[in-house]
Amino acid sequence: MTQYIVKRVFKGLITLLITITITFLILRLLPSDPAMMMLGDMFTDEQRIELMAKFGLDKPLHQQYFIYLKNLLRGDLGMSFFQRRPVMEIIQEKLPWTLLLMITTQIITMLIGIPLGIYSGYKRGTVFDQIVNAIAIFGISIFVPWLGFTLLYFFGYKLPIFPIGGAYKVGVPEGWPYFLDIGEHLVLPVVTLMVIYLANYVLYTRGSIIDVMEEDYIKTARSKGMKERRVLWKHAAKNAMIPTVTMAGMMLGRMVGGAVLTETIYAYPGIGRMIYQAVGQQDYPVLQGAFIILALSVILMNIITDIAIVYLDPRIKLG
Amino acid sequence: MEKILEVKNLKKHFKLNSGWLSKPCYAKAVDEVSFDLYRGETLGLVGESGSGKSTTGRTILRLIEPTAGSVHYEGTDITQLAGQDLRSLRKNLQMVFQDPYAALNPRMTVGECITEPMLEHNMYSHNDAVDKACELLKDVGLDKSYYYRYPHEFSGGQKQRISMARSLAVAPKVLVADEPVSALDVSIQSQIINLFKDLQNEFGITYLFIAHDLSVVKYLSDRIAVMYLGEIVELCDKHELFENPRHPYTQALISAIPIPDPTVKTERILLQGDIPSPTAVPQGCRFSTRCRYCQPICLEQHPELEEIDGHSVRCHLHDRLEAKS
Amino acid sequence: MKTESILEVNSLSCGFRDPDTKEVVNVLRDVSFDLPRQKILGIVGESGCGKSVTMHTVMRLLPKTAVITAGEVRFEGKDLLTLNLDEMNQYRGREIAMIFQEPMTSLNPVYKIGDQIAEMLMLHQNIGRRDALDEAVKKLELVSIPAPQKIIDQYPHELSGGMRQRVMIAIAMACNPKILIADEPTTALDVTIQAQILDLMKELKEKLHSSIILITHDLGVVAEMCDDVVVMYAGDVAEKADVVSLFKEPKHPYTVGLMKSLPTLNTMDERLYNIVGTVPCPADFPAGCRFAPRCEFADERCHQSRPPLVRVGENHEVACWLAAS
Repeated sequence: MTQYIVKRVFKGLITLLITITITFLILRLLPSDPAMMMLGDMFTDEQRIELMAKFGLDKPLHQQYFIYLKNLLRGDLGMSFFQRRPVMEIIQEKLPWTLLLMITTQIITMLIGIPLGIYSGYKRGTVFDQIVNAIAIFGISIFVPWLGFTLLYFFGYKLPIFPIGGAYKVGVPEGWPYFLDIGEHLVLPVVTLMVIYLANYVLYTRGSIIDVMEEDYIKTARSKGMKERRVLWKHAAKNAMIPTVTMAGMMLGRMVGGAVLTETIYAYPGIGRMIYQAVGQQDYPVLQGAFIILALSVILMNIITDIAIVYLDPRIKLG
Repeated sequence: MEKILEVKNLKKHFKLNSGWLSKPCYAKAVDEVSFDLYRGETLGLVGESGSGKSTTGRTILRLIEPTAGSVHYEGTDITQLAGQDLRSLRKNLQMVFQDPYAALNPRMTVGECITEPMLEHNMYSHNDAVDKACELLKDVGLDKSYYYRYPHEFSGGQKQRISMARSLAVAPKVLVADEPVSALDVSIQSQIINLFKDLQNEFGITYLFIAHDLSVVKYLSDRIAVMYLGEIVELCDKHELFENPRHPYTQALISAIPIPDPTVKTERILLQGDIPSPTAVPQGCRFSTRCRYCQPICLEQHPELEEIDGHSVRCHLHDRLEAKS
Repeated sequence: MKTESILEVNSLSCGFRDPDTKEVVNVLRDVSFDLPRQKILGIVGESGCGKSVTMHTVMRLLPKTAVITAGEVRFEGKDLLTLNLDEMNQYRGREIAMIFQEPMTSLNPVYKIGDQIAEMLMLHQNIGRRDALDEAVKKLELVSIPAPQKIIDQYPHELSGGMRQRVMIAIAMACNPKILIADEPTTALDVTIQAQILDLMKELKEKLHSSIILITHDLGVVAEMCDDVVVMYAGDVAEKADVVSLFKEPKHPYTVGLMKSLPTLNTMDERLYNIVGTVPCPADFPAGCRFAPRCEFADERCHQSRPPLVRVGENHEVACWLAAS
């Protein structure tokens, strides 16, 4: 098992290295002057010379690559030329908010979506199932910005229950009021994201449970004389979860960059909004930093998912 | 009798665990299998799961590529053929598969299934091919009106007949039948078995009949080869096999067959344990882990297939054992 | 009611509701038979005969589309068909247990073997998990599984088909049920493994004083294992007898035909006997004798009206107008 984990992490690192290299090459192989790309025209000439030396933009490509790698290992992702501060600093500010938003969303969605999907699949064809199915399909098809604006309009403006945007109100005292305030600001963005993610979990798990209930071992379980409730939640559920966990892993991996629309609508200060703004400002170092963070999070989540699956499904061969 | 097929030292090892960080591991599905097939005969190839009999059949036809060894068809080594030569070979060597539900393309009509190989090999013009297909349908006992229908409209037994008509379309000299009746009900089995016999009498086809059911194999075959864990352990005339089985595995296999007569009490030889995995083949004799006569030599030395008076057996102790009839 | 019967199926009729037309298509028609205490009853027939459906009805394991239209199933006097699901669960596993055909898929792949056996014990007995696992080891010993301490920590996919079927038997017999229903338990297994499993079942029946219902299509297995036999065809009971009478003097033309189509080891004939035609599907079941369309002796009366079960011997009943006279 340890061997499997080590091998898996090693493969992950290789993937990361390739991603970093491709990111490096993209920016430097673009037709325009890389110096212009990296430094913009916001800096004074002295600063520019200093930065060019620091990033080795005047040196040959392979040397630049090693400087790039060296900088990465030190956590130096370059300088944002719009904000004129280190990209790493910006990311360190924004990332926690995105993580808060996404982790809250995912946990609530999983806790509701998976049991809902299981029960809906079990009661396939009944009114309950049809309603759940309809809501789920609605959820998958909905246009996120429309949903965001609608919720914002009704609950943020018309009936001002929730704040209109941002992650927190400035000036709220530390401690309990601070957490409540953050919670208040989280509600609408989480609900917006939940609508889509919930649909995914429900439909996936439902399909999975429908397949599992046809399996022979379910008949065996019933023949043992156990209550139907136990057949469903002990014997069928664990098997139905296996494809769901795989999917959840993929979704979590994309979570860091996945909330661009939602964060922008609610002016939530996370990575998604950062990316949106950086594109508009042509702030390439920020985008490059964002690519790397995204890649890292996807690779990390894939490794965790692969390991979690082995615990769930003993049939998976290690190595 | 003339040899139509000569199989020599045929090997098929499947590589498991591919991936650049894993240790290689081989499943020795077919290991040094040699036998001859004579024109017009039916050779039964018998074995249980893991014996390698199906893999042998497919490797001979190059549906799976052999790892080593040679297969000579009428003198030519077909393991070396490629391209057009290999495709032409398919006219002479055909196969009927086990699962009639999976062997026919559900999107093609019965007629298309049968005429396709004929047209592929440019054997007939389109109209002649249609006529020939109707004739074949009659030969296999089906009405020619089935030409325009689809496979899903038929039962298992009928589908198997269609498969046979398709194989016969190119007038093959050798037909490999891979468990063709295992998936069918008893009353249908007997119909298909009769069909096999009739077709052989009419067209003079040579059969390699692969099965796990010894009663069926005995009925159809002239000679029988018994396989265990990738090797042939016994090969002889069918009457000889049942009257005088020499290999302990054959003896156990024969005694395991339930006799449909409650007054007969069989002296059953019960084998202990399961067949070993083809990835971890026992040293020495492969049957040694379950053989009730096992001696030290059986664990150390791998026995060769020895022939005495047309009866081949792979066992160190075969002349010392009592034959069970 | 015979006092020596532990299970009585009386005039059971059952069908399935077509999801589109909402009509009930009848499958079982007036099926009746008894299971004598501590005997093995064989239910034999081909696919589509309703043998599995009958047993699933006894265990109340039918799908939601099934409709029981008439009859009763009396276990020690109590009609199981009148029970609700909670009450039925008191019988399942504890008094009546069942094992199924596909050992490869009948065990839950994500739980260990030990837990699956222990679960059965904990469901019906007042026993904690630790004790249940100890008992599980004993149950594995009972079914002659080697190294049971190791096996309880393994997962189903790590075992072979034969081993899995033994585990299934261990689970089924864990609470010493009075009846074991075995639905084609060896059909998916090799013949040498089949011999082991059948032997095991006989041994357990003696040790645990249970009664067994054995469903199979293999007449050889019936001859070996069963004391009494019920032959089913297309949802009807065609013939019922003790095993010796059935094989010595089969009366129903279907039974006769089945026995004649078997290629036994002693068959020397040129052609195997065939029963013409195929088993109809439930929507096409005829109103009279369901075998009439395929029967060479059928007359007007056979096609029109259904023959009742008539006693023709001391322990022999047959549903056939001609055989009864």
